[in-house]
Amino acid sequence: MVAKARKGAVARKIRFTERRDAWLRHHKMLAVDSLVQMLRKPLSSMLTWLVIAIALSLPALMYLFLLNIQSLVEPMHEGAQLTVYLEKSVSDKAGMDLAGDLNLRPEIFVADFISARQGLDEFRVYSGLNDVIDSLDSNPLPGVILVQPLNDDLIAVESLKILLESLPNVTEVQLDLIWVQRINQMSQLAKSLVGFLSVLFSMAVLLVVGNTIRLAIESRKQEILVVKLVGGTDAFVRRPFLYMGFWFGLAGGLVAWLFISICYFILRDPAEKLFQSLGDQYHLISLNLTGVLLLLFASVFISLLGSVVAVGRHIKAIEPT
Amino acid sequence: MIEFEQVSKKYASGHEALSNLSFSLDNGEMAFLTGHSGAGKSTLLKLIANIERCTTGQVRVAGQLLNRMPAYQIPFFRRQLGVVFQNHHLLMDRTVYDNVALPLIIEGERPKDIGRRVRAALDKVGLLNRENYRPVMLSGGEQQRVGIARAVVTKPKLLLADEPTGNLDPLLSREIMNLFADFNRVGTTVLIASHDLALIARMPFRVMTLKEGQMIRTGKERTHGG
Repeated sequence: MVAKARKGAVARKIRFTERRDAWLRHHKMLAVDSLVQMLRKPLSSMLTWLVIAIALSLPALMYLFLLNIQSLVEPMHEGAQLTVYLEKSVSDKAGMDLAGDLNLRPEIFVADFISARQGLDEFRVYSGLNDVIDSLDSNPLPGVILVQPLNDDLIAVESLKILLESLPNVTEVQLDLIWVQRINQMSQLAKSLVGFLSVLFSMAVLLVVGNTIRLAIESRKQEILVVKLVGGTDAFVRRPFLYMGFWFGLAGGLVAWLFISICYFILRDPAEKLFQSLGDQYHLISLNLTGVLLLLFASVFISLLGSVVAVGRHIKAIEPT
Repeated sequence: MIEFEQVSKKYASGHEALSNLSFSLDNGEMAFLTGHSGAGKSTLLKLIANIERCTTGQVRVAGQLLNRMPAYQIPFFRRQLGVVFQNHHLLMDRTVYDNVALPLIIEGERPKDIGRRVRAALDKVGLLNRENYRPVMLSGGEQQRVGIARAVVTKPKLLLADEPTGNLDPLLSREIMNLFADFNRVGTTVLIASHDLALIARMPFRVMTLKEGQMIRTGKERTHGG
C-alpha cells in the first residue's frame, strides 16, 4: 500500500517535471521561432519598430533636454540671495548687530553686513567712476545686509523677504536671481508636460503593438483554429504572440536608443561649445546605462502589455465551429 | 467509448440538427456514419469532439461527460482524440513534418521522440519521402493522408473522420478506408462519417444511418441477417 502510494507520488513528480520541461522547451522554441519570423519579414516588422522608436525617443529626448537645462540653471539657483537695504541713519555697529541677529535665525544660512563705506569702495572698484564718487559730498549708499537663505525654494524665500521687510530700520528688500526661480518653475511645468506626453506616447505604442498583434492573429486565424482543434490550450496559442510583442518592444527600444544616440552625436559639438562658454562645470548630459535600460524596459513592458491586451481580446473569439 | 443519450442539438437559428438521438460505440469498434448531406453527420462528430454542445441529453466520450466540461479542460480532452477533417485543416505554410508534429509539440513531447513518432506516422500513410514538402505541393489524396498522419501520431484511443474520402477517386478512397481499418485492427476505436455508400457496403463494419437528425439505423439491428 505504502509502496504503491510512493510509486504514485514518484509518477506524479515525473509527470510534473516532464510537463515543466515541455513548457520550458516550448518557450525556448517560441522565443527563437518568433524572433526568426519577425526577422524574416524585416520590412513590415521594421515599420512597427520605427513607430515604437519614434514614439519613445520623442519624450526621452525632451526629458534629456530638460535635464540639460536644469543642470545649467541649478548651480545659479543655489546663489539665491536677498539684499536688505538699511536706513541711512543706522550705524555700522547697529547694522553689524542686526546681521548677527539674522545669522541666528534657522531659515538663514548666512547674513553679511556691508557698511556704507565698504559699499562705496566696492562700487568705486567695480564701476571705475572714481572722479564722480570723489566729488560727492556724502556717501549716497546705505548700509546693506546680504542674506543667503538656507532653503532655496521660492515660497520660503518670499516669506523670508516679507519677514525681513517688516524689520525696523529696513527700507527695502530685494530678491536677486528671481529669473532663476522663474526658469525653475517653468522647468517644473515642462517636466509635467513631458510626463503627460510620455503617457500619451506610451499609449500610442500600446495601440500600435496591439494593432500589429491583432493583424498577426487575424492572418494566422486558420493556424489558431487548427491548433485549438488538435488540443492546443489558449495559453499555447497565446504564447507566440506574446513573444512577438516582446521582440517588437525590444527592437523598438533599441531603435529608439539609436535615434537618441544619433541626436546626441549631431548636437554634441555645438552644445559643448555653448556649455563651455558658460563655465567648465557644464557638460552635455546624455542617456546613461540606467537610462538605456529603463528605455528598453519601458519599451518591452509597454509592447508586452499591448500584446497581452490584443491577445486577450482576439484569441478567445477564435473557436472552431 | 462513445455514448449518446437522447441527444438533441438545436442551433441558434432554430434549426434542429439532431433530435432525440441515442446510440453507443464500444471500445475498439469501427463504424460508419452515413446519411444525406444535412442529415446531421457533421453535427454529431462536432458533439463528440466537443466543438459543439448538445442542447439536451447527454454525450459521454471516453468516460467523460461533455455537457458541462469547463472550457479549460476541452483542449486536454481533444488530445485524446484524433480527428480527420473533410477540408484537411492543414497549415499551408508549414512542411508536412511540421503539420504532423503539431499535436506532439502541443503535448510537450521530447524533440527526439517527436522525430521518431512523426516518421512512424508518415511511414504508415506512405508519405515518408514527403516530409519536407508543403501541403500545397501535394495532391488531394496526399493531403488527406497528411491529415490522417496528424490524427494518429498521438496514438489516440478514438479516431474520428468527417468525409475523409470526399473528393478522392474510388481507388484512393479504398486505400484511405483500408488505412482506417488498419488502425482499428490495433485497437483504435474508429468512427467515419461518409456518404460513399458503395465503398461502405464493401467493408465489414457497422453502419449507422442518419436522416433529418434522427438515427434510422444504428447498425446493431439483426434484420439484415449478416
